[in-house]
Amino acid sequence: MSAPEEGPGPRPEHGRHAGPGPGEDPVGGPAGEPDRDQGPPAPPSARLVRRRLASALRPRATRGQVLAGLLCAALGFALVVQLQATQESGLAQLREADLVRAVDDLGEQRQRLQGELTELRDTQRSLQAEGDQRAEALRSQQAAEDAQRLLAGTAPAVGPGVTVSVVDPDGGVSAVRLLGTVQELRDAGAEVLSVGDARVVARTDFTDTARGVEVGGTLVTSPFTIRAIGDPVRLEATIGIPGGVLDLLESEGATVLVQRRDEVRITATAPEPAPGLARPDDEAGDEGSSGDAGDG
Amino acid sequence: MIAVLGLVVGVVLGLVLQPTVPSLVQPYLPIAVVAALDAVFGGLRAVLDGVFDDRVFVVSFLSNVVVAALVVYLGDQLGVGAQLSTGVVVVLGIRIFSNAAAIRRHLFRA
Repeated sequence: MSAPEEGPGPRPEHGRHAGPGPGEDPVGGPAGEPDRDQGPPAPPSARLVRRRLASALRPRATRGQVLAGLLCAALGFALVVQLQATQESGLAQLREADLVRAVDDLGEQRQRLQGELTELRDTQRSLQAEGDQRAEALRSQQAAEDAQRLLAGTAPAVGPGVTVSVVDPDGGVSAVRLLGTVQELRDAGAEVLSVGDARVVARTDFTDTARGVEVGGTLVTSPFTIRAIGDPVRLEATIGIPGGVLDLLESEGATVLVQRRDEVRITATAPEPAPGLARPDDEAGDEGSSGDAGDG
Repeated sequence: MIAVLGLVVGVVLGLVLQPTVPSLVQPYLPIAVVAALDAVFGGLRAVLDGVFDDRVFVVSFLSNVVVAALVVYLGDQLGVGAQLSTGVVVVLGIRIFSNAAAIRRHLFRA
């Protein structure tokens, strides 16, 4: 250490420090204790400090020195051991009270998380139910739409049913007869019908023309096929009834072949109905009809 | 000199032996170490003050360690072990700081 040499200035040496040689101050008793709390003494000169350090570092095998050395060894040992123990750390290092608190904390946390879990489960369930409802609504909506499209004839249809092949070289089958046939099939439960290339829906008209019968504006010429989707057995039975469709068609000079099929495809579609004047009367409800009757 | 040697020997021993702390002294060892550190700093200051005394150092070292451990033990029995340990560490820490300040004044004149 290279502290500047103190000049011979008026710096007062502390009385005790100015005393005997370095390190030897056996009467300094209590002052040697580490727990003095007197104010800072005036610093001794640098030379004095160095002398003291040097003398302290000089090994002297007195009993006290050896004892102090042993104690310092114990301190170093304990210090290292404690450092390592702290580094290992973990729960093993905790006190009982800390452990109890940790367990309490964990219990509380667990309870809170459990509550959270229950809440989330409830939410999940309700969302699930909601989703199911939506899916259900969607399904019924879809079903309703399908039914509407089939009724309106805007969608191709497929299903079990019958095909009625009509060969009518003389053109003897009239529009009325054709309409009657369609009506018979409807009565027998036919859901979707087509005559030739024309889809038959509620508003389809049957007209006699010079060239033959027009169905919904489409000319139907022999030979043509009437397709009907519905219960095949019932449809066939209805057609075959004595005095029914089959007999009447044949009486007009047509040759008729009825076939039951597991799958009848009706690809013909009717044009989209233009928006009309009528609209649903939501306000009237049940009273609608009676109200009209009252007016009349 | 012997003290410094002893410190080095102790550290080496601890590193080589790697002993585990017995659970009985586990709560007291850290406090005892801090108390001993306080004693060592006090001793160093005494050396620089020129008033060092072996006997006083040994006694103060041992009594420091024992009293610190006892206080913590008592605190544990009274159920305020954690707080009392903190208190002891704070007090010892303050003393270590003041001793270090005195040593610094001696060595660096500042």
